[in-house]
Amino acid sequence: MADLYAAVTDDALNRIAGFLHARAPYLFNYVAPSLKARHDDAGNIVGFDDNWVVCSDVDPAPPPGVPRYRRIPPFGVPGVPIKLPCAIQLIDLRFDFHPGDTITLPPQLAGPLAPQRFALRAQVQFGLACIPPEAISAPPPTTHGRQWILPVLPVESLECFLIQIFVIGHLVVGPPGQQIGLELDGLEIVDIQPPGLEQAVECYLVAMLKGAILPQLVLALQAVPVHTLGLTAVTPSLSAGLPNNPAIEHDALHVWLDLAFA
Amino acid sequence: MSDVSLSVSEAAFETIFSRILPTPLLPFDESASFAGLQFGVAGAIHIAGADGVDFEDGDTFWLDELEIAWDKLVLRLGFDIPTVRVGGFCILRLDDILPWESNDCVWEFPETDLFGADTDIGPLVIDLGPIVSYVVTEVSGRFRISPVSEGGTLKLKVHKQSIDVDPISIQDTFGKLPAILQAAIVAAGAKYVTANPPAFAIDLALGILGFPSLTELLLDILDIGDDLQEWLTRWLNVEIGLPNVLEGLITTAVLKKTMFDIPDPYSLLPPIKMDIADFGGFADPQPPGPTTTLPAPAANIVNPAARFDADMLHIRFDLGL
Repeated sequence: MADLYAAVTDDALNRIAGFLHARAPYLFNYVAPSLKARHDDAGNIVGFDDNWVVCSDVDPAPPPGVPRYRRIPPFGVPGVPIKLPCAIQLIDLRFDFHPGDTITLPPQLAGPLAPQRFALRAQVQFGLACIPPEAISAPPPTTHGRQWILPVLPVESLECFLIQIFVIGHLVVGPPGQQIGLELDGLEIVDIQPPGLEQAVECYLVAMLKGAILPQLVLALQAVPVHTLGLTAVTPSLSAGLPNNPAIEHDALHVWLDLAFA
Repeated sequence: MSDVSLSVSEAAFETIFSRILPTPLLPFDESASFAGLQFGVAGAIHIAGADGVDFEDGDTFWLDELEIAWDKLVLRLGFDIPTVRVGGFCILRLDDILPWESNDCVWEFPETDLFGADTDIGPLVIDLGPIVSYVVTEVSGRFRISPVSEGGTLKLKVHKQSIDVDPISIQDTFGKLPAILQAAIVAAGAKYVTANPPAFAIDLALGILGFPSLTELLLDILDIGDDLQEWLTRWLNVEIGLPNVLEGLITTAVLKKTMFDIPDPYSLLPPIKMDIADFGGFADPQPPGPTTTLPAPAANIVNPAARFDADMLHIRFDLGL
């Protein structure tokens, strides 16, 4: 018998995600800000400030002193002499543990959700700046004999589009030290046309997830229960001899641990 | 199903309980008086651990043995010796020197009372340090566990439901106890006599009372007889009521113990240190920068519950999100 067992439901994780969305929106909103000219009393440009242009306002406002956005670098387009602002906003994030009962999977992912699998649905809004012709040909603004070299295109709005991503995955335990990670079983982006474009984007996303993001994502499922109970001088390890440990079943993530007391 | 469920096995619980249980010294000082004898006990114990946890259905568990270690045991004895009136007799009568005169006393030895005080001898301090390793204290009990919100954490506290402190016994495996006890009494008597200059009064009184030494008097007054072991356990258990004293000490000590500390509010992320320049859209007021640390987003714990079944302690709570 395991010394310690812990479980958290998918409903709790979804409510945590919603809570963090409101309290720590900078975890969900990544923005390469545009620029906004700062003028003196005579109307002359005296500098530039960040202009955090996004597709969807962050609502409700976060608690005092908490930022809404995290900065990402502006992106460049070959042939365009100026960097472009953009925004990536995670509008909604939802988890569903086996048996799947809150996320309706698209046909491409062949539901229902298999045993020991989780599903994730993310609505991501992308915003990209449109480049007006004059931005390419016009000389940089000049005031008081100073020529401003702008690092990014000043815009007041973005071209926005929303995509819906479905992911199916499962947990894996691997060396070294019983590291618990995620493995991707399927990914689907809904309604991108033409189909070839959709497949290409999905292919890139899968490669990026498998090659770069998931390998670095280690779930501290051994440490969290021990810390939650305030136990010290204890080394937890996954209990052996169980068919699935950790397990995704009954709408919850479960883990069984043996404890080595110092 | 609750948002978060945690279960702890009986074996792990016993280990954790045994780890949190050791206490510093728990001193006590009790006294009783009976038939002219003042008997005091000063001692100290500490709880060393626990053994034999047995979960019961509900919110209680049975503990077979609370390991008690003795650190100090000192007896204090005070005696109220029956008052002895000495003197008042005539040393020289008038007719001894003038036969024709009356027999009036011309030189009388002054009459005085010896041992007229409430405590005539004592306190004699008998250090029973050498026997503490023989003292056996068996404590078992039923304890209740409950979640209590206290000082920013949800504590799972252990409460006494019932504690059984068996009468204290002295395991004299090697038969050394009588010699040790007698030596301690002799030492205490000798020390007292040395420390009290009017020893002649004691010797005088002892002579009047018919005892050759203070030790003999002590053994007689204490009614120790041949079985020092039985005498000591009777005094500790019955006259002083030490089991009750220990129960009070243990109850107070255990009540201060917390099995588990769950942070409440429960942090969903660690505090985040950030460079202000890497973030934007701050809700007023914006931190002055250039760096700041955001407090961890945290959720209140609601509906906490702790229940036992035959094998596990189940702790459950929801997050107030």
